[in-house]
Amino acid sequence: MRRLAAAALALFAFGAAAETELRPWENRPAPALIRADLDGNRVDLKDLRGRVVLVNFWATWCDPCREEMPSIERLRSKMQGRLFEVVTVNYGEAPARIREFLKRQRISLPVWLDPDKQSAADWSAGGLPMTFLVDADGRLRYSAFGECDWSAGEPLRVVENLLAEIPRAR
Amino acid sequence: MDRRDFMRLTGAVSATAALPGAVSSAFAQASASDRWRVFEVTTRVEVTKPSGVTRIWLPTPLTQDTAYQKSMGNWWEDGGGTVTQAVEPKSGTGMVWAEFAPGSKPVLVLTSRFATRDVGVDLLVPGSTPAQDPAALAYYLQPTDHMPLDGAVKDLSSSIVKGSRTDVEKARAIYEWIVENTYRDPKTKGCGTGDVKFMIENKLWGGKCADLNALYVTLARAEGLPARDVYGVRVAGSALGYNSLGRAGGDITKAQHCRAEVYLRTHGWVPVDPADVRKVILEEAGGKKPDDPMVLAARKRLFGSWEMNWLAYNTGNDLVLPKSTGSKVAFLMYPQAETGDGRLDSLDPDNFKYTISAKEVA
Repeated sequence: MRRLAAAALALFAFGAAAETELRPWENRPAPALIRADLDGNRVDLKDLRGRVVLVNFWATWCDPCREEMPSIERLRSKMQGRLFEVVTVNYGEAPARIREFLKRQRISLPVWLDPDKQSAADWSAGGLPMTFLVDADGRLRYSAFGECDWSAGEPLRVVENLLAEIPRAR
Repeated sequence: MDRRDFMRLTGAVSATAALPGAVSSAFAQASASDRWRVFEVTTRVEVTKPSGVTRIWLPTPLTQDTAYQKSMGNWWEDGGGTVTQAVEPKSGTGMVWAEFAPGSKPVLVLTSRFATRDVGVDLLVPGSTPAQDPAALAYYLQPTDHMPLDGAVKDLSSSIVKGSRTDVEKARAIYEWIVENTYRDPKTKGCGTGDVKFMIENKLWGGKCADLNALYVTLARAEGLPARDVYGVRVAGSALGYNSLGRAGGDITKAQHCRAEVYLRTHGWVPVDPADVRKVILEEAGGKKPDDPMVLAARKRLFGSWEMNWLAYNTGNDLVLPKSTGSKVAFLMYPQAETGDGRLDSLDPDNFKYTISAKEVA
């Protein structure tokens, strides 16, 4: 079983960047996303207008989600100081479980809660991880199902292109 | 929640009489073994951070006796809460639930005694099946929130059963297709969330994230065969030599497993378990090839029979829990609880502690 797991991880590391498929969208406003974050604060995607936002649906039991998260952290780090935000949306789990997972995995991404899975339904996230790129005007521009490396290759280029659309974006 | 949705039972005796709307699970043929084994399963639940009113819901064994399982009673330690035994009439899902006042320490212990015996259906010999209530069978032909029966689902099911002339052939074609197409593909990404349509569209066949018995049920229903998931828990090791298909040692806290049944007019409800064939491939002795004798034997056996080292809880979907303030549960196979702060995560060890143990008593 350990050999199988190691092989699977190796294949992920090799194949993720090469097999990333970002599905483009046109003329579609991003669905509403109004939830609470882990601290209980009300959060609304609309408040992030003017920035490119990566919205990532995930769960602690989803191994591909866990494998992908470090790449989202790297992307966020690369984009520091620019008009870019990351929002991760946890699929249906309790805050205590999420906090324990983030601490164990050393993940420091923002987490919004979707305890009733309604947001996942609104965004048609039928699998995990499901990631969306929303442009600065609040339009859904790309989606991707499955784990990928967001900090390199095509995903990074797509994010840069969306940032370039913002007037006077750095 | 409308109390009429649930039949309330008093006392510690579980219902064995026929329930309106619930479908009996009579088999056409004698069981694969005539030996009944008697088990007790004890579930202990503690909500460690209660807030306001706390409620706990626990599944009980099948509320109707079958050729493979008989209920012998449920009893509990209420921990100061008010306990009610209830049955959801459409599916016959039985449960024991408790309500604890604010300020109390919510602990509920439920023990269920039941008997099981291995079951098998000889699909080469049509049997004399008892008449089934068409309305009750219709429940197991409906789409659910997670199992649509149109679009990509119907496209796939139609392609699988193409050329099949009988219900038996259709049921077997779907079973064999799932067994054939479930190998872990390294190119497969992501996990399913229980949405079978999404699973089909994205070919999420392999790995831990696939729910293959739900896929079986969905495809069968799409082809007009009543089918249902049977939610339960493994209670003992396998006597057939499969370490991956049993749980020895008594601690079955994480041994939940869902099987499936398909209804054939000539044979009644037939047990199947394509997911366990995949489990043998992935987990038995470090993994086995599909043509390994153990895999081939399991593949043959698990269309039409079950080894009953497993307790069947229920077949219900999209259930409203009595007096719950939360949403429906897709199924009741794990303990469920909620406090004044909302539904608890069944897998959150900080707030929701439970243990499930099994012992064979006869």
